[in-house]
Amino acid sequence: MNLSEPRVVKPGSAAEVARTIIDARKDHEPVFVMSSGKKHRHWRGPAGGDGLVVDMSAMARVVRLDRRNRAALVEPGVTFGTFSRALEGKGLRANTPLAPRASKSVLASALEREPVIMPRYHWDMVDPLMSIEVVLGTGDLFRAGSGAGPGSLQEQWASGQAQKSPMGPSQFDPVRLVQGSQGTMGVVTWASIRVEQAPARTDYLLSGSEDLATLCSLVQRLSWRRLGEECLILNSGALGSLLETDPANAAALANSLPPWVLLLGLAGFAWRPDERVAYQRAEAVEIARALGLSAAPSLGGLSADRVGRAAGATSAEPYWKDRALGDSDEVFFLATLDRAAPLISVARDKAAEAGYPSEQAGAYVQPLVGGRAAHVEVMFPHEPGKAPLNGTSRSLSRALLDAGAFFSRPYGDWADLVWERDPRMKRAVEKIKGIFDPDGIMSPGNLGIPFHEYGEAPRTTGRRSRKARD
Amino acid sequence: MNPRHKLDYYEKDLKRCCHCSMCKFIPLIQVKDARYTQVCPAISQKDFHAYCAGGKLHAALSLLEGRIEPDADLLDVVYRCSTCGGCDVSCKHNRDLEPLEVLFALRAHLVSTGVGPLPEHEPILMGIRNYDNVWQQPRQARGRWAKDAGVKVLPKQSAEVLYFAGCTYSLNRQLTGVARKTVALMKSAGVDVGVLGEEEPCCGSPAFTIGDHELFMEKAAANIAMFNRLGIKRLVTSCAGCFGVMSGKYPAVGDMSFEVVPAVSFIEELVREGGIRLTHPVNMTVTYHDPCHLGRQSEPYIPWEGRELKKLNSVVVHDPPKEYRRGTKGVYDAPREVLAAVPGLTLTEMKRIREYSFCCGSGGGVKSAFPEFALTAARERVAEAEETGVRAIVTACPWCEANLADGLAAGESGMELFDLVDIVTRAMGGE
Amino acid sequence: MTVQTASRESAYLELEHIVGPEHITSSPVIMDSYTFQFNADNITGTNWGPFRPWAVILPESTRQVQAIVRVCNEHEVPFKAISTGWAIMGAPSCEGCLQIDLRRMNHIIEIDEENMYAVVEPYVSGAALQAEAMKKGLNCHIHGAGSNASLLANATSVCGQGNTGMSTSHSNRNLLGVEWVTPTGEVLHLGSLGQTGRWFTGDGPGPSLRGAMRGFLGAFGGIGVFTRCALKLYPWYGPREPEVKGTTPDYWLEGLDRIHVFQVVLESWDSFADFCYKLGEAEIAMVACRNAPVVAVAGVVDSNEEFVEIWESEYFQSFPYALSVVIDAGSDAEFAHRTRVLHDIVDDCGGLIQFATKTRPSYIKYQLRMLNWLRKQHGTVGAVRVLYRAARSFGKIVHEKGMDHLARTMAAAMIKAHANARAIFRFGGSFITTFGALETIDAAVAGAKRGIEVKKPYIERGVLMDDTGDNAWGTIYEQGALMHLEEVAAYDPSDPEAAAGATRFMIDAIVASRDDHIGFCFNGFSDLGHGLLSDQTSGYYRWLAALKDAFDPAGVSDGGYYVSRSEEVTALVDGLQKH
Repeated sequence: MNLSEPRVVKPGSAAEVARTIIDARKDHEPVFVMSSGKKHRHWRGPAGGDGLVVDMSAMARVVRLDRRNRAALVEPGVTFGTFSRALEGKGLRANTPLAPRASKSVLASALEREPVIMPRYHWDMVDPLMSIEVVLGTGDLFRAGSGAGPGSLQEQWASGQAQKSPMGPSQFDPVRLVQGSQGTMGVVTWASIRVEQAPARTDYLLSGSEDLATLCSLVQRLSWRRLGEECLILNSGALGSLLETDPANAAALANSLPPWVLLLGLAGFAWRPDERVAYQRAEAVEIARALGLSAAPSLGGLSADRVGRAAGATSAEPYWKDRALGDSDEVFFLATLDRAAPLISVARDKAAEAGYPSEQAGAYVQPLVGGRAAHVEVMFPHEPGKAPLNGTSRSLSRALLDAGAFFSRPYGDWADLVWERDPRMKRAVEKIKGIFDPDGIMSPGNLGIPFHEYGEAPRTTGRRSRKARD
Repeated sequence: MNPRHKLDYYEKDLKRCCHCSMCKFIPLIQVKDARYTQVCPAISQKDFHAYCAGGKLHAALSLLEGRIEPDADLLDVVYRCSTCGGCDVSCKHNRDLEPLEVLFALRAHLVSTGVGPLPEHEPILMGIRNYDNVWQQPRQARGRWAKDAGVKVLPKQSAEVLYFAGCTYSLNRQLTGVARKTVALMKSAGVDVGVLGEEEPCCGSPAFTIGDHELFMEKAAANIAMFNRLGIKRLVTSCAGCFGVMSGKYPAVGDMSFEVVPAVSFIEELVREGGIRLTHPVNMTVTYHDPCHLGRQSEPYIPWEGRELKKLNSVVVHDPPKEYRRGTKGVYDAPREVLAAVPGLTLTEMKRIREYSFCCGSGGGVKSAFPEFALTAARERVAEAEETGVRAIVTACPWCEANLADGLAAGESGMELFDLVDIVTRAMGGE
Repeated sequence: MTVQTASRESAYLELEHIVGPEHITSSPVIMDSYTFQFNADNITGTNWGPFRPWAVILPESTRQVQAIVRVCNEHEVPFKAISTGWAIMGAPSCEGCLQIDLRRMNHIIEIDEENMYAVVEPYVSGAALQAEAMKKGLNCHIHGAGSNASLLANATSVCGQGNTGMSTSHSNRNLLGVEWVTPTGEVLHLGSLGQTGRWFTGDGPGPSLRGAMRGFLGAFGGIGVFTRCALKLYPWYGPREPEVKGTTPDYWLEGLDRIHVFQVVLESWDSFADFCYKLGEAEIAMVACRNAPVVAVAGVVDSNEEFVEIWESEYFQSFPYALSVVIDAGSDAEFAHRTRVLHDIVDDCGGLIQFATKTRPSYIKYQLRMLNWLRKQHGTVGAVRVLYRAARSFGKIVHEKGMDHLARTMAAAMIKAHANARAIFRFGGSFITTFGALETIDAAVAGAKRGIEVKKPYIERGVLMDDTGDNAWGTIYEQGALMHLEEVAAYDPSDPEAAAGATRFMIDAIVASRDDHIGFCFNGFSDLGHGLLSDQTSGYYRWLAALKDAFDPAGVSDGGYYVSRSEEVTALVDGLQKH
């Protein structure tokens, strides 16, 4: 047996997960969770094989689709690929990240607060996550959100409920405490996901600009007018990669486009869809015109429909971010829309200082919470195995922090940077972790909290690592 | 309010207050600016909940139930209040309660039990008792303003209209011009007007607001009897305080055979009917401050005696139906219409006007007991006026004028202050 | 907690040093003004809460709040913060409590027009922020209590339902950056605030501590003090400074050219629910608010006498399945589209429009439908009687003011939330509210139906207002994503029997909502609520108590309306099991 490989369990039920966690707790064994059975970006597993990986891919049921209430209840192993197929023909669609991998877990994406492409349906940062069932680091099975009860899921369904609210139960919102915790609180065994009605018709528009700030202003104005469903901005390089699997074709497409492109989807639903799309389209065009921009069904030779379809579908392989050079590193953070352009400049400038050709960098601005914030992402495509920033990624991140970027999802080194800036928040997070994972076994290292940093004094008695047992 | 109603008459109101704090704010739909949300000068300054109307209702209930003993803090809560009635308007926007009547009843309760009023109020009451004026001036001084006005003096002579100057317009030398100008204006319009000269009594309003309801009723009854005897048709007064009490409270004390008219309404009538002509431009931008006693507190008294019933288990109704005074029937339009008739003059409104006007801070005995309170309220009102960008504040109440003048003096805006009659006199070509 | 006099004296002096002597007091008359609270009668049978504060303090800054909380920790003084402080949950629930009145913290710190959020201090009312936001073409979510109440308190510490939830969501979900003085006196800056000094999000880094601070119902001051927060703002397509017409109590707004109200009536609960779902999916409404007949009538009259006269006509009770819909639009084309779609949906669901802004002749078809329904319910003679009585009562108001006026008044009331207290407090002086789970439309309707059944025996006993049982008020949120309907019961708090009955009704309602699994009700807070609900709600009680332990080790943040610390919870649960 290869000692460097961690032990992997594949539970088939919440009860099995609970037993696994209880055993791990007894053993003081670190536990890492993998939702869909694939190691996606930012997933961090056991260092040196010391720990247990809970692979949730065997729990892959779409437990319930509720068209009337626009809700889905999914297990962790449900991927965007299977989810989109499940929704087909049901009159529903998911508010997904931009062209997610087909193998990516829907539940994990929501738990990680990944950005979604329809900001008008993103009322709150917690969306589209609603209720959850979680096996906490204590081994206790717990439900949170309105799905907590009273009553079982079946009893709630019988009274017309659909686990639609992330609030509660009662006077706390544990969903928010588990979300964003990078697996450090427990293992989520199902989640209810907010889904949206499928449109009867969608018209896509593209607006191109030399200037990102102007496009961001356009998004703000569209947000105020509540126009549009899909709404996002990509730079030409990233857009090329999104649409073309072949790097040469992607580059050619990028070269034919203005540096920045906004995608806007305008949907009509059951009631007078054509009328709705028509007035919204006319207004969107007029708002763009007021900013000196055009908004049209095509940009150069590029059809907006093509971009719209690609944005909402799962990515073909290779994953779109990796297409240019085979791999990509990213830096992403939250900011207000008016700060997106200067912050992207900071990232590019710092990368250039490290020798990275800034014109090669991709960029993506995803408005969130109805336009009140934006996920800002700068991608540094690179050849596999090469470090694009020559070890300066930490200083790049620090420069962004200094310039006002908010690393709300602090993976890896970012965690240390953010806690350094506000150690009080780290202590507060540790308090929460102390409740849900008193022995600190859940995903140690994530959130910058090593195995024994938190909690009682490190225990050695009774701790049996995988290596020791073997 | 019927001054015969004692505090326990309001017990149900005390228990039905819901602590909503509406009494602190102007009616919420009228909030136009975050800076000007408050209606109550007392809570605006003291902040503790007890100082708003709701807090005083709680204090009254606590006192009645024996939870608290009367002490200096209670007196401070009860008397650090200009009794402007802004709370009453705001409360009644949603509720059928009587917070202002409770406040007056609470003061009366404290006075009748020997706890109130404050020592600073004693000279006022003594002045009313001994000199028939609040300023403790000899009676003879009261008629001086009219000596050379060439006006009839009642009761030796008779007149259709009695001009009632009030203590302050009669005795405050800075303000006697208002009385003189008003009478001159009436005469020029051919009004058959007379004054009482040194026989003019105090209206009793300060006694009422301070809580000596016994003295007030004594004064009111005597005054009503005297006015009835005079055979006048109308009593016109420039003093908002006098008008407010005669309109809103006298009818509860006795039958009146005459009509009480505020000078601003009388002037508006003269302007409208052509009795006086406003021909001279007064090139000025002004704002108008609604005096509480001319506005919401002057709403005519509505008598009601009856009983409370419950319908549908819990719905409180009255037999006979009870009409509430909500402050909407005060004198708001007349002064504005007069100002609109003045050539060259532009009126710009403040954010808090009419029934939800912010008090100048002078009433309810606070000017004498808590002068710094009165001044702070005046500064607040002056600041609101300043924000309109106008040159002058116009009002129609001696108490407001005196207090706003102090407020202006404490600042540096250089705004001017006028009584409405000053403007009218100028528009008629006078000075 | 034992109150130790010497320590108290020392604590008082330290507190006085923080805020100055004019901003702290223990005077009985002032203490009682904080002890009197609406719904106190449900606990004590009187207008007074169970405990008079030990002292009241008025800080003016976060720094002062922090210093106060530290003194409280040092001297073991429980504290309870309030903003506008309405209802018994704002009053102390324990002996010797320091009431922290945040009234002096009343500033709008910032309105970020482009990014559509505002930063406020605790004493900023809905009316104040709304007035300023509207000047910038924006609006805020104002909760059901009305625009007199604190926006911060509602967003951070209590439940957050409100008239305009259809388009402005729920207070829980409108919260962005937060400044939180924890029970130990640490100042936490949630979300982007801690990292960037900007307020645009309150979640992260990592897990969102928003999850620890309020939940569905709010912690009612049991987990520290919230001193500033950012709130989402929403588009406002009406006039920047709407002109107010009329005089109190009958005010309305002018210039709402593209903001119209429609009173839609359906024939059954089922068609009501269908209509709500379709309305949500159409994404046309700014407001979708269910007022029971009793509240609909209360909203259009100026007195209880008028109310009773109209109510006795039985006209409004004949149309209980009603929804007040406000359509707003940013352009004429949008307004035309939305209005047409509304009529489509009304027709599709077999409903009618009872009245609306600018009533149109086509409403004749609705009149005919209305007559038909009346005849079905009352027979022909009965229907004529109802109509005759309605004409003599409601007809008078319509004749005086016009239907259009009533619609405009209703629109103003829902947007400005200036008269929320009128419709419920004016009846008898107080009310209690139950059910109210925030879940699907179907679940909300299920709760409303059950609420009527639970309330009826109390009406028959004469302790709660006879509103036919149905006073389910609530709104749809986020274009149909969520709905709540709470069962409201009016009563006279000066009648001890009524107050006791209201309490009993509340407990029955908690049990009914639990046993019928119709969602987590409004009343599921404090040890009483947790004790009744936790076992069937994933056993959340222990986790909540653990949270209290972690953030409030000294137990000084008055948790009487929140949760006790774990050791006390264990004792309580043991005690319950023994009985």
